[in-house]
Amino acid sequence: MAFTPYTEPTDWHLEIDPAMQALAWQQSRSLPTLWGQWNAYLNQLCLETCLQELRHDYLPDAHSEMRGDLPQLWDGVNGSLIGVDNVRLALIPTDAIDHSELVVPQEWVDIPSWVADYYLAVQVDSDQAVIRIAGYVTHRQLKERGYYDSSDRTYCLETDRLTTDLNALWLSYAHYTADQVKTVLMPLATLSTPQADQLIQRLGTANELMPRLEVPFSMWGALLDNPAWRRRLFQQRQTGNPAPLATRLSNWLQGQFEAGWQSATDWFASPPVAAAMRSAASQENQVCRVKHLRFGEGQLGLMISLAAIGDTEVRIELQVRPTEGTGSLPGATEVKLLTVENRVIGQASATITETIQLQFRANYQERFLIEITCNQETITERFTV
Amino acid sequence: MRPREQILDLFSTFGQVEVDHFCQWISDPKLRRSMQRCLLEQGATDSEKVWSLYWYKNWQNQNQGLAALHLTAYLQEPCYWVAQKIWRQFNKTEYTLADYLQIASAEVPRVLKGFNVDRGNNLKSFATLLLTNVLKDNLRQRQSADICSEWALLRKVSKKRVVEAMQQVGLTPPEIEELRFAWVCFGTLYVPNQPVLNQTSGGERSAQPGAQLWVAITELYNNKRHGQAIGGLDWTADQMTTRLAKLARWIRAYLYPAIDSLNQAKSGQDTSELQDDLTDPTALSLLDVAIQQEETDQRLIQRSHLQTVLQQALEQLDASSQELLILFYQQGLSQQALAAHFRTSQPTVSRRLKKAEECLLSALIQWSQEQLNKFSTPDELTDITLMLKEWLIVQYANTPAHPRP
Repeated sequence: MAFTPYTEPTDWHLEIDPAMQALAWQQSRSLPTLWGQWNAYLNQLCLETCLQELRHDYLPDAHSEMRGDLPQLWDGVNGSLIGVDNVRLALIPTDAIDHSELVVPQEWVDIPSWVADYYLAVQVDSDQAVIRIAGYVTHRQLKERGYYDSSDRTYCLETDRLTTDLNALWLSYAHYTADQVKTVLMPLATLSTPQADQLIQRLGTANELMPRLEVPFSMWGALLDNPAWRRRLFQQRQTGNPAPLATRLSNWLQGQFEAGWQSATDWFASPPVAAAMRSAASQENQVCRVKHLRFGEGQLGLMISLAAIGDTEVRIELQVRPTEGTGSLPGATEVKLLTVENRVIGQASATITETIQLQFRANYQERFLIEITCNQETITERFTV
Repeated sequence: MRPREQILDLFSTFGQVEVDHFCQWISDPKLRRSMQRCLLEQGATDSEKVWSLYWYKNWQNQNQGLAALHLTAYLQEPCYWVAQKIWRQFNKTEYTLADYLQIASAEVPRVLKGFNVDRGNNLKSFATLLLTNVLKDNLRQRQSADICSEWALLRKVSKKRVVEAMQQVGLTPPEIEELRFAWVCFGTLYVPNQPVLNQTSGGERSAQPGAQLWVAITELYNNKRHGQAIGGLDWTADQMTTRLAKLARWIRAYLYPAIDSLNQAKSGQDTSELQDDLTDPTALSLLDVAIQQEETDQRLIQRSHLQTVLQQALEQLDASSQELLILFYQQGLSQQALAAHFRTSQPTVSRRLKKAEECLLSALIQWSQEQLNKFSTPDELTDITLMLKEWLIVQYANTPAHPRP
């Protein structure tokens, strides 16, 4: 029995599922630093166990947010985010045996796209396979009652000052306006793309063991606020290679293609697709290439067709479709077309059996991103025309 | 144990426990003189509440040792009940009832710090609530610390405790900054290499840090310390090893002292070190406190309404939930015992108890919403949850000083 003798039935103790624990350990091994591996392990135990319990008994609609950033994000920051309705709960685990303080990394408090309404202090005892939710605090209470520790960029609050009865959270969260639970955020810097590239270059290596303390928080926070930038950062830390550079589409018109972009005929062998492709390619000056993207166990094809219109513009058609032999996407899929500043300019989604098509025009030198989300995983492709 | 009745005794005597039973109340001469003087100067009210508030307010004003000692004496009954409950529940551990009483008494400052007088709550029931949790937490920590090597312990304590342990041994702020950052570097590189504790290999799952690791930790420290505004010189790997080993020893001594060496002053037995002249010119007068007490009495009226609300909500619970509450709050049954009683699993018992408490809390929130014409703020809500817990303790307590309302 995993329950320790010191557990009161009124404590918020949850048991960790052994199969999940084994899987979490295995998955955490993919992270590039020792600290990141251990942090990912604790966070995954915490997130999965809490989420299951909350869904089962208290908040049926609870879901993990920023899933596409996990587990890589845990190479830099402790904590994870649960969403329910319009409210966000940050889970902040610790494996300290004395649970004297809730220590919240500033990222969850001052980055606009990360900020939570409530912070849950979670003690994880991986040896006993139990976790204990010690209590919670609102964003406002944390900032107003706690103190900011500049040495490790955290907001800290003594455990004795948390609200320990989680029933109060279930009963109240829907009643409050954001203003009642949240207070002002520290302003972040505005980063230009070259600045972000430079930061990613500098911090995107596993040799940098303390990336979050390396540059001023206003810059670090701004970098992590942008989903595309932070994914590149953590991807680069993990793979040791710079994230793939933007695909240069104008080169395609000269017959030069980056690795990974295959001729469409190699790929879509099934007759209707091949026919569609042929009809597209038959148009004058049209180039068509496909990239194979892996989502978990499955995969899908991203097809880009390109045609020059006059001297300054190109017409771009993108299709997301099942790959050969499968006839279906790995899961419901969403595609977003984004500017480099991360503004959404086009968006479409599909169920498993459909394909997605987007058509637009772009000028030479213009840059854009295509973000594909499937089975809670997100892959971003960058392009320069 | 026969609870004390005289005001003089309440604030100047301590319980003496032999291994497993209560012996007698022992008077502390210095505290007795201090209390006699106050009774003489301040006028002799025999309200226990006013006197406890008087010392509490003085403790808040000055944070002085004397007030804390009087309050530790005052809170001996809750300390004893909690100690007895825990001792009965875990009588297999190596600690005696006397040990538990000593740990509980030593944690009184934490009770004082957490107590909010404006809530109009009762210090004794608040102490019972907090000390039960604190004592269990303390035991849980000791158990974990016992099976940790020095190096494992070092990475398993909180930042706050690390800093406190350094302050305790009298390091200067710059020394603390350096060593704290060294501790951070240690934690960045020294992590467990197995998913769970390996019971067969004697409870260790991280290899002892080897020479190579010490070099890496030292390099990290020397490279990063400038960016962190840490002064001093670069460290050598030997210095790193020695200094962190020392830190580990300080932490163990600070956090988990052998119980028989617990700071006796905290439990009020060596007040001889205090100045004999115990008068404090800045102390609040008892009259001020009595006026404040009247204000709190207004809240007490509200509390009696609140009790009616809770009583009604309680009666609406199904019979088995009511039984569960009685067995837990009145009989003090453990989670295991409750699970056995209801022939179900421990998590199920835990869930059902929480659901029962959720019904009560919900009634309380609704009532306060009607009173205030608005939903309670998050801060008020925290107070409401504490009110409920205290009410449950008082409601079900069957000890003499906690009469059923």
